Amino acid sequence: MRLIAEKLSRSYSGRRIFGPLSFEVAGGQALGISGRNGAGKTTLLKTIAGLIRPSLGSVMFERDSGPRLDAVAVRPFLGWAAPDLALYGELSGLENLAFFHEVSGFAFDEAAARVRLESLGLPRRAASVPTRTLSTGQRQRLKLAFATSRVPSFLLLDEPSANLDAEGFRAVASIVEEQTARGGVAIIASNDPRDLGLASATLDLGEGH
Amino acid sequence: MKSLLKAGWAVFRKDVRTELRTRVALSTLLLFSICVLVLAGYAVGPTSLAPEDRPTVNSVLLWIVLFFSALSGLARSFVTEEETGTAHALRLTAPPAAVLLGKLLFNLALLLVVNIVVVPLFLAMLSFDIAGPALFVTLLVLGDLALASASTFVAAIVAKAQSKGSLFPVLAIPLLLPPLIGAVTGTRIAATDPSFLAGIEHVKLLVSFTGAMTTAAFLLFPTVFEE
Repeated sequence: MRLIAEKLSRSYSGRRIFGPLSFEVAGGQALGISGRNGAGKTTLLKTIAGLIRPSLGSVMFERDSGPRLDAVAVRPFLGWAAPDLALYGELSGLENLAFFHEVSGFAFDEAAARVRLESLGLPRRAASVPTRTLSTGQRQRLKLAFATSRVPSFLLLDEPSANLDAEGFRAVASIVEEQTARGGVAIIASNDPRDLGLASATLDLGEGH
Repeated sequence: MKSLLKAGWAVFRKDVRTELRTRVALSTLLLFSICVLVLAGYAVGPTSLAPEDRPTVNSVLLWIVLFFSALSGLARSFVTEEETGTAHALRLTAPPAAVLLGKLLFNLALLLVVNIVVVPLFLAMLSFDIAGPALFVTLLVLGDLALASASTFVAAIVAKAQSKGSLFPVLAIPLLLPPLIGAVTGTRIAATDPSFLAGIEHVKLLVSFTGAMTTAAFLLFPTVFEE
């Protein structure tokens, strides 16, 4: 498992947001991305996820010994959680997870999903009430469940412990540990030293451009 | 192909489930169409028109009701995905063609529900007699397909724009004029002629438009959705 970014950069209206950046993250490693507000951490993570096209450069993904995949082809093996990710407010946590499994062609195991939600510290009722009725912290835990429920090879976490209490941070830490322990790649973009402490290496975007 | 259909069906079921819990799109469409229907009923009424003018005027009014109610509610399915941030999760998990298919089916279902409520009321309130019911129903279903296919694709285009509200009708109205003209003319024929074949040219027009629009939408949608 490997993620390779080569001369990756993104600009808007002639203003460079980040880059050019070249880095690799091997399976079993967690890379932290730090930098001031506006340095481009979220944009970099979205570019890696293929939600934003890079202005220059490329991101490629290697799984086992197969061919290199681009950000679109790797989506079934990618997990992403971020502040501007939202799940369907009218659906329950379980309904959301079931829907995203179904549209991506994954089998959904409701019992396993319930266990997963409980392991992330969500109360039992949170699985079956509309997610719009959950607290901000509970929705953040649900986003982490969304990111990890398909057991991704590449896990991208943007401000993963935002709005979480100490117990929630421990859940984030165990997610990153699980991800690296099974040989997956984790990338954590954050300003929180606790989040960055989970990474085995850090890429500092500094002040940005 | 099977997995694509399954994913499209999942998007459709998700939208139906969400709609049944909020009823926003259906309420908007029904409220709009019933308001226009009542207005048309008072303004034109069953007797204020000369009998020879009724088929033409009533056909135009019926499709105005259906057309503008489609414009008022069909953009919502894509716009809310972008506005609430769920579009990111959808992009990461669902094939673009499945998203388009699910949204198209949902918009078509909304229009069919509106038809089931509004069309009988319209026929009754304006004493609009239909001589060729088979042609009339065919035109309604094909007209809904044309409206749904074009509106769904235009909604996907405007969903990321800042001025969605004004951009949607600006793009959708010119695009929908050809099928609308076909539907109005065909409905006028259905009102006066019992023969299905009398309006076959308009049926062909609607089938051709829907086929071309749907094909273009499925070809272009991945780029629109991913950009």
